Amino acid sequence: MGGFRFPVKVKNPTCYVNARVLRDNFKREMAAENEVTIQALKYIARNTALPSRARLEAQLQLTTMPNYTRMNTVKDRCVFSGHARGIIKEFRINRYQFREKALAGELPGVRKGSW
Amino acid sequence: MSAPTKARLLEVAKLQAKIFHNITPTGIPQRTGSKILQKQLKGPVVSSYYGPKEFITTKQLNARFPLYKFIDPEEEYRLEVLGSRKRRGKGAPAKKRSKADDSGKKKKK
Repeated sequence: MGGFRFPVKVKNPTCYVNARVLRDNFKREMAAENEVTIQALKYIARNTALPSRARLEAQLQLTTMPNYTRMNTVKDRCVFSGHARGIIKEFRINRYQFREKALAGELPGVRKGSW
Repeated sequence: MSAPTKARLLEVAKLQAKIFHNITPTGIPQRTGSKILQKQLKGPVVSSYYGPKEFITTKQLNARFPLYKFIDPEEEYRLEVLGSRKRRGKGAPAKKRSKADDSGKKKKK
């Protein structure tokens, strides 16, 4: 695939986009696509009832799979700013963006605490 | 103290299997990997984190409903800026038609 930044072409997200968001999006797509394969290989590799040759082969295949197919390379990023730190997971927003949006009344059900 | 013999280790394994209800023909407890198969797939959740991949654009909306005119504020702003630049003579140069009227900048030698 020429003229594309990643080894496999994926669709871009419709939220805020920068290079790091695109990279993470690509990893997410690939991890989701290869999840079943990885689980099957892991199952074969970890099952002591199976012949050791099959287990070894499965383990080798697992190690030869590209890094972007792994679930643990995925990082939650802010959908409004692309920032990777201080993410409030329930809202998928960075803490600063969360404050801005909440004060502007753009997050339903969120109110400023006062007691 | 010497290392335990193989027979003794097998005995331990057998006892372990008996206690933890993990009896196999060989007497050694097995790892079946069922833990991995029981795991729920999280692919759909992970890949949909950044929202939908396709969202209708203003251009597509206008094409689908020609009776209405939908306005994209960002596009309007862009056109406004471009217009003001052009009026001040700071717009993009005209495309050259042929080799003859090559009026663009030339590289100094």
